[in-house]
Amino acid sequence: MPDLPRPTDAELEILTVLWSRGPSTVRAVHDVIAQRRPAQYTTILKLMQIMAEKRLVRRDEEQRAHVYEASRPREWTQRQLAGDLLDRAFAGSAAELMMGALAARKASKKELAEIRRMLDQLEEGR
Amino acid sequence: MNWLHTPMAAALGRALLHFIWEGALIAALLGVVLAALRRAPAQARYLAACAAMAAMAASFAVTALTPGAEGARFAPVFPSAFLLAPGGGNTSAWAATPRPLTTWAVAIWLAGVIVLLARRAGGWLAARRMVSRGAVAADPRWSALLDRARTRAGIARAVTLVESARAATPAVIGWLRPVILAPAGWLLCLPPEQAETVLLHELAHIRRHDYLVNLLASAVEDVLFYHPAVWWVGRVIRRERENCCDDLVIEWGGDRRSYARTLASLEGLRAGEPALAASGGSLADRIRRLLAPPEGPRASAVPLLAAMALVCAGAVALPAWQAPAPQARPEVSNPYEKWLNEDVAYIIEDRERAAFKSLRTNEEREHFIEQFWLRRDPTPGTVENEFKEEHYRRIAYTNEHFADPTLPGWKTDRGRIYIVYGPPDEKESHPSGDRGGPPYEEWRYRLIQGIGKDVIVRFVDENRDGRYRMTRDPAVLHGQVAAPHSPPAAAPAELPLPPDQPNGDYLYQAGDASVRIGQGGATMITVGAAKVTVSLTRQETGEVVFRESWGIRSGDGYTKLLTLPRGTYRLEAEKEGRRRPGPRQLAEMQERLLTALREARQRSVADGQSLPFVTLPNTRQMPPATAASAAPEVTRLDFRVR
Repeated sequence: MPDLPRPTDAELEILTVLWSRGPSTVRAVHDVIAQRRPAQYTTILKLMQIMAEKRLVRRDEEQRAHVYEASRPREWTQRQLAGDLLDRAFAGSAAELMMGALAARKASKKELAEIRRMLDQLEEGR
Repeated sequence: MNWLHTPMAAALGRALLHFIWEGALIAALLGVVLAALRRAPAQARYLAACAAMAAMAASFAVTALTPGAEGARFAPVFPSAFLLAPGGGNTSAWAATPRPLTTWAVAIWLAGVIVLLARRAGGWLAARRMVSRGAVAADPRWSALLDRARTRAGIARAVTLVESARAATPAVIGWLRPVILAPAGWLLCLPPEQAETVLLHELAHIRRHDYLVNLLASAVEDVLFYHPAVWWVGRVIRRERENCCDDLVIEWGGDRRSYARTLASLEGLRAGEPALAASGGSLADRIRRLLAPPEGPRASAVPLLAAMALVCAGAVALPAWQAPAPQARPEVSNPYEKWLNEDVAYIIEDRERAAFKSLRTNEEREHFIEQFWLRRDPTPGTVENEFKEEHYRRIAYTNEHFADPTLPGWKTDRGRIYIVYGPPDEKESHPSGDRGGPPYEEWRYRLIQGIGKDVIVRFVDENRDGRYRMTRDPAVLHGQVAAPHSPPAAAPAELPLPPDQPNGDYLYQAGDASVRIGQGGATMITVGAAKVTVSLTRQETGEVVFRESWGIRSGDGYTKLLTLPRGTYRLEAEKEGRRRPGPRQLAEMQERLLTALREARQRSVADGQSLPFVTLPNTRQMPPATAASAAPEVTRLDFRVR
């Protein structure tokens, strides 16, 4: 599959809505984005049309109101985003500052196996 | 480089040197304190480590700011000072005029601090950017979930929940206006209860001001980067911080086991490669701790305070906000919690439970409890409430007769069945088993409303230690005993997986339920039901692989990640209070299922290709909903993993 262009920040915002809500109309995307910042419906429409041309999103023209869908999964784009300089240079440092339920780094295979063993024991022990 | 020859640089050099022993001493003290606090709550160890970090910062600052004489007094006790001060004996001269070695040390240290602080600032900017760019307001249903979690956690401050394309795991960013960041679409992958415990963990970070404390501790670590003792204290802080949050989640009503499972499945959902080596905060340790909690808060306050005083000695006092947040809100105190989680645990409805948890005052709770029993009183006009009396009689009976080595009677399988369904009509005990088999009991109920006639429940004491366990979960029992008023269940269909793609994910649709089965486990999505109980049984052994039930809103999804050994399985979904789904809902369901499927596929397959979608041959049309359609309906699906 040919490479898609890296989405801009504005495009990424639209993609995030599509990943979170599933295939949506422009109206629905606009409503979500407008919750956090002022946004014009026509701007979003234009952006999404451009994104369809770039094939970042797919358009389903069967219905009267066109439904858009992200053409690539989130994880795929996430890997692409890692190419961004600031993100790449400071991802580790940023992760240390964010307070999550999980550690900044993914658990090792050995640790995952250990966790699985404990949970299996729990199932049996009950 | 002229600055390096000023008295200020000399003072810094002295402070850097002295901090080698100061840091080691404080770390050693912390080590002693931590050993003393081994059995104390994680919060005590966390505070001790924070105090040690503050003490390190303070001792460095004090040494740097104290005039030379101070340094002269300390210098003789530290041999390295002699090593670095070839002049040897004359310590006051050493303190006044920096030696070349000290000068170099200061220069190198300064360069290191600049690099590290720049990196930290970049990280801070990158974290802020995660909130401002490519992040969108979370779906209203998640905001509602967050509100519920906030009520449980008693947090009044505004907390924003956003979904982000950049985040790999849920996290809190910001202190004054905290934002919880969730990976886009991530919340779809967990059942609401599990998502709520994760939100509770994040709220615990917010409540404890962890973001700010971490920022400050990181700054100290960056400045004193050259001392391994500082790294160690930082690690202790991070470890105990997560333990504290885990404890708060449990305190706020999270279930240990299910929380441990949630953390494990979250780690499984996480994108990216596993680390090669174990990272600092070990998830395995946290899960071990959750599953086997240390024996209560045994340490009394006196040694705790003494230990704290030791660490704090000579250091600045911790800012007041670091103290554990006092119980500002009147917590659900013990008798009410006990009432909810023990007395009526098996008979209270989900809706009632939610309502009870949202109550604020004890007066309201008392009133609720009164109403709760009143609603169930078969003879409301009389003083006696026969239902309540019978219920408490059953609890007392189970505690007297079914207690086993590990559980009180009411918590055992026999206790649960007895409390919910009452004494069986017939009971067969085989304390010495059959033909050398383990001891067992069979209880027969002639009729259980909503389940069926002639229900037989079997309890087996596999280990011969008095722990009788039910061999058939009620879900299976429901399937086996046809409820008189439910339509006959469709014949289970064997669904061979297409041979060309033995490892792919497959979608099945049966009536209004869709099931995805594949490498990542099974996803089940139903529409129009008020409550769903899903269970997966391994046919060969009759083992119930999992069984969970949850209240559901239309179109909600549920993903359970399981690794299934080869075999034949039966997936059953029991729905109550269903409505007939409309075409829009069905479309929505398929769409969400596809999303969930893609999410699962992306973990193993990078490219989204076309997905196999199989419609079950005997797809059943649901009967139109009627007013009296409250009877549970069971959808079954048999499949084989090979």
